[in-house]
Amino acid sequence: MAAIPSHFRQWFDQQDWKILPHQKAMAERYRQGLSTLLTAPTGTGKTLAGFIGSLIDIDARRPKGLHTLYISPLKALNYDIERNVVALVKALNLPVTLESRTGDTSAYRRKRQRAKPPHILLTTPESLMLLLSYPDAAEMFGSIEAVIIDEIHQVAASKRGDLIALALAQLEAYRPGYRRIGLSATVAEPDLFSMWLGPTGAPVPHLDSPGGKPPKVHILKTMEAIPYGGFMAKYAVPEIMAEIVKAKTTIVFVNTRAQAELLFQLLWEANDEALAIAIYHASLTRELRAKTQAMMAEGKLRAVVATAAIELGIDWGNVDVVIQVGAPKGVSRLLQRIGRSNHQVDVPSKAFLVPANQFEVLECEAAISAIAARHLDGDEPLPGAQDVVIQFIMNAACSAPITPHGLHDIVARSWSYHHLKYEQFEELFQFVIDGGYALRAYDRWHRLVKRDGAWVPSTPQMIQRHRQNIGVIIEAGKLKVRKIHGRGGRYLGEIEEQFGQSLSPGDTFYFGGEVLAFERIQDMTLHARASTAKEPRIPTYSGGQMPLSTFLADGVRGLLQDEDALNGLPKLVRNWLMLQARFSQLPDRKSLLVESFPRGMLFATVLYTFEGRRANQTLGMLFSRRMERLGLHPLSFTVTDYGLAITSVKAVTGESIYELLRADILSDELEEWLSESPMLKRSFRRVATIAGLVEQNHNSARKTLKQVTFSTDLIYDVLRKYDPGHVLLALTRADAERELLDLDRLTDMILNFQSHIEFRALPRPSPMSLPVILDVRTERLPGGGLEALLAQGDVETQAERMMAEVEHGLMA
Amino acid sequence: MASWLEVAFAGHYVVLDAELGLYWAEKETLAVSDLHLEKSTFLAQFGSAIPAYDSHDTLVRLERLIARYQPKVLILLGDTFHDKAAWARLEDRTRKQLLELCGSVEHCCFVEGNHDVGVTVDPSLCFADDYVVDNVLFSHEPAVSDLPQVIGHFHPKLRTSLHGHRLSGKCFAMNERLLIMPAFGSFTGGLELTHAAFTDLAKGDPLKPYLVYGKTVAAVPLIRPLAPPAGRGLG
Repeated sequence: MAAIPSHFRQWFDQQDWKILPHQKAMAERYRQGLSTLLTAPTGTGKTLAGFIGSLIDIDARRPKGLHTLYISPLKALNYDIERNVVALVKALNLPVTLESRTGDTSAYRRKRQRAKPPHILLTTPESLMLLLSYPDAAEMFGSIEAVIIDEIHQVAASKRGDLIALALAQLEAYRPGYRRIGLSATVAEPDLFSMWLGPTGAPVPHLDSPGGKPPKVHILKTMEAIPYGGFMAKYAVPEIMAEIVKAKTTIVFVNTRAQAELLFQLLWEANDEALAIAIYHASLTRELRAKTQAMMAEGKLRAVVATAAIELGIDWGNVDVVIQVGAPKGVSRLLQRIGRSNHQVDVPSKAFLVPANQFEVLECEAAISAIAARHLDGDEPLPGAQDVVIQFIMNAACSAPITPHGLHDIVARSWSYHHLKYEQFEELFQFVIDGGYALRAYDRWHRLVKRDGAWVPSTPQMIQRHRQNIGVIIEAGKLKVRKIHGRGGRYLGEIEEQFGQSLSPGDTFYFGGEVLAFERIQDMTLHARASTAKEPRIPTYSGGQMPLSTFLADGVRGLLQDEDALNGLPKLVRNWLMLQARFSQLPDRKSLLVESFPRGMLFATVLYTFEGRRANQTLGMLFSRRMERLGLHPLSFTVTDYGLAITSVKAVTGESIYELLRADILSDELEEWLSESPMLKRSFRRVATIAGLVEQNHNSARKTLKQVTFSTDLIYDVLRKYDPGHVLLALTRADAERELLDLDRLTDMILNFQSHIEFRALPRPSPMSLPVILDVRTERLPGGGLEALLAQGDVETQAERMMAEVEHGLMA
Repeated sequence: MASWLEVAFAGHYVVLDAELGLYWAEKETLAVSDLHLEKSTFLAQFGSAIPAYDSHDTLVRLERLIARYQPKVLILLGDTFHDKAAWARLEDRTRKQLLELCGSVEHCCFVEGNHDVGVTVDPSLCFADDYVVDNVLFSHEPAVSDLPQVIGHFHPKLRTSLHGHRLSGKCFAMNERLLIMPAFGSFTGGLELTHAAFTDLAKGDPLKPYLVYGKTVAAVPLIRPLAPPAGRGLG
C-alpha cells in the first residue's frame, strides 16, 4: 500500500505541487509507528511532512478524542500552522478537527477543548503543562498517537526544552509508545537532538532532507564608511533603502528591539516614495503584530524591520531579499534568517549583511566563509535544569496524587533527566512540600500534604497559584505603554520596567515607530504622549541581546591571522587594523593582548580574549574582583564576544597585570565572587521564580500584595547567611554555570596565557578597543569601587554642608 | 564597619548610619523603622516557600546597632510587625531575642504603624501613637503637627548614577521639617524617591536623599529634576 492515499496525491497534483521525498518518507514512518527527527532547511515543506501521517490516519480511522499534539515555542507559529493545516483540511474535505491553545485562548474555548478535545491540538510548552495539571489529563491524553515538536533546534537547549522533555515523559505514562516527531532546521549535532527526543535517551531515527542551493550572501556595499563603534548601521540607510526599492518584499533583520525602533525611524526618514514599511518586534501588542503579519501575507508591505520575534517558521509570502543589519552572531541563526527569502527549493536565497561597526565586518566575513564551507554552529541540548523539575512536581501533584518514587521513574526516563538520581530528586520533592529549610523550627505551612500515602496540594489556592505561574521564561519586569490622546488613549505594547523607571517627565524615546514623551508610570503602565521632537532625548531601550556563537568568535580570530583574508577586507577595515597594528598591536594566538589607557577621570583596561561572551563575562567577574583586592577600584565592565573592557578608578600597570591574571584567580576569587555577584542573584531570581518561591503573576485579588513584594536579592542574601546548604542555592549555582559561565574555556585561556601577556599602556584608546568600549552593554559591579566613588563625592557634599552651616550661623 | 554621616535636622545633629538606623547622640536615642517582622511567614500563607529567616536576621542587625551606639532609648518607628498575627508566629527563640533586645535599653518605644494596628504582643512592650524627643515628633506616618517630624512608612529608595554608573539602594530623605527613615526589615522593598508621594510630602521643600549602598551612606543628588524644565520642546 502506498504511504500517501490517492485523494491526497490528487490534491497535490491539482495544486501543481510535488510530494517531496521526505514528506512521503514521513507518511511511511508514521504508518510503521516510528518516531523521527526530521531535519530540513526552512521552506521545504517540513511542517506538512510532520502532519501528513496524522492527517492520513485520522482520515482513515476517524478516531475519537485527541490524536495529535503539536508543540511549538511560539504562539505566532501556532496561528500560522493552524491557518495552513486548516486550509489543507478544508481543501481535502478531511474529517479532521484542529484547534490551537495558547495563553491567549478564551476561557470558554479552553473549557470546551478539555471536555471535547479536537483531533489535533496546537499548543505551546506552557499551555501543555497547564493541561497536564488538570485532573482529567490522563483521560485527555490517553489516546494520543503522535506528538510533533517544531523548531527543536530552538527549544531543546533551553529550560523550555526541559519543560517539553518533562511533558513528553508524563505523556509517555499516559500513552506509552506514542510517536515523537521532531522538526528542526539543519543542526550540527543531530544525534544529540535524536537522543533528546527519544523516550528513553536512545536516539530516535533521524531523517535528513538535503537542502537546496547554498544562499548568496554579501556584505552590502555602502558609500559612507563603516563606523568604529556603535550598533546602528545608520551609515548604510541609503543603500538599505535602495535595496528595498529594488525588491518586491524585503525583511530587514536586526538583533535587538532597540535597533528595530531606530532603524525603522531612519528608514522612514529616507523613505521618499512612502513605501509601505512596517516594524515587528515582541514588545508591540499582539494586535499590531497580527496586523503586520496579515499585511505581509497579503503582499501589502514592501519591507518589514524585524527582530528574532518573527524568525521562526512563519510563512511571510514572497520575500525576495533578506538584509541582516548588525552582526549575524551565529551561522545557523543567519541561515535561518536568510531562509526567509525565496521559498522555492531550487533557487538560491539572496541576502545582504550590514555590519554596524568594524569589528562586525570581521564577524560578517567569518560567517560568509562558514556558510560557503557549510559549517554550522548552534546550541546543543544540555542535561535538564532541576528548577524545572520542581515546577513539574507541583504540576503533577495538581493533576493527581503523586509519590516521589513514582514521579522519579517518569522523570528519569528522559534523556534530559537521566542524570537525576533519586536522592537529588527527593530533595527537590521536599522543597515542593515545605520549602526544605534546615533551620526552620515550625512547620505550619505545607504546599503538599500526604493523603492515603500520596502527596496532594494542601489547598485549592496552591493549585491556583501554581497554574498562574507555569512557565520558565523569566521576563524582566514589563510596563504597558499607553499613548494618551486627550482623555483617551491606546496601548502600544510593553517596555522593560528598568527602562521606564529611568525616565523623567518630558523625556522622549522611540516606541512602536513613534517618538513619545514620557508622562508618568501608574499601575504598571507607562503613560506617554506623541512628541513633536524629531530625535528622542533618551535614545532607546536595549532589549533582547544576542550572544555570539563561540564558533564565530573563533572564526574572527582566525581571520586576523590570515594575511590573505585580511587583504580581502574592505579598505577601511584594513586601514583600521593597520592603525591598530601601528598604535598598539593586533591580537594573535600566541599571547593575550591587554591594553590600558585613561578615560576621563577613570581608566580602562581592555583584554582581547576572543573567548566568547560568556567566558568574558566570567573573566570580568574574577578579574575585577582581584582588581578590588589590589585597590584599583573597578567600577563596571563591558563584555563583547571578542574582549572585555573594565573601568576602574586606578590604572592597571605592566606589573599588576600578572598579579591580576594569575591562575589562582580561578580558585580564590571564584567562590567568593560568585556568591556575591549580581549574576548569581539574577540566576537566583530565575531559579526562585521557576521553583515557585516567588511569582511573576498575581491574580487581581493578590494585587494588593504588590507593595509587600520585594526583590529576590534580599531573599538570596538571607538564605545564604542562614541556610547555605539549601537546595535552591545549589540550583542557582548550576543555573549560573549553565547560563553564564564558561569555566572550562576560561581555565584553558588563563593557563595558556598567564605568562604570555602583551601589555600596552597607551595614552588613549586604541583603534581596536573602540567597538569594545563603545558597547552600551555594561555590567555594574557591587561594592568597593562605587562605594569609593560615593564616599569621594561625599567629601564635597560634606564640605558644602559645613560651608552652608557657617553661613547660617548654625555652628554657634 | 559601616559608615555613618552626621547631618543637621531641625537644629540638632543626628547620625544616619549605613545600617539603616538614626542615632541622636545628645539624647542617646536610636530609631529604626519598618522592621516588618514575620513578613516571610505572612507571605507563606499564600503559598510562597520564602525562607523564614528574616525576623531573626532583622533582629541580629538591630542588636548590632544597639551594641554600637549603646542607646538609652530605642524607638521602633512603626510597622515593627508585618501583620496582626506576626507576634504569634514568631519562633520562640526570635521572640526571646526581641524581648531581650528591648530589655537592653532603658526605654523601648513601639510607635504604632498601619501594619501594627491591633497586633497582640507581650504586655511588657510599650506601644504609643507617637513619641516626642526635644520637640521632634517621631511618628510612623506624617502627623498633623507643627513639630519637625521623623517618620517611616514610605520605605524610600533611590536609583542614581555616579560618573555614568548606576546604583540603587534604600535611602534616608530629609528636608528642613521632615526626615523619612528607610525600612529596616530584611525583606522590605521600597518606593522610589521620585514617586509622587514624596513630592507631596516635601511640600515644596525638596527632600534631600542620603543613599545607603553596601556599607556606605552618603548624600547624593537626585538623578534628575522631578518636573520637566519649562519650555522644553518649543525651542
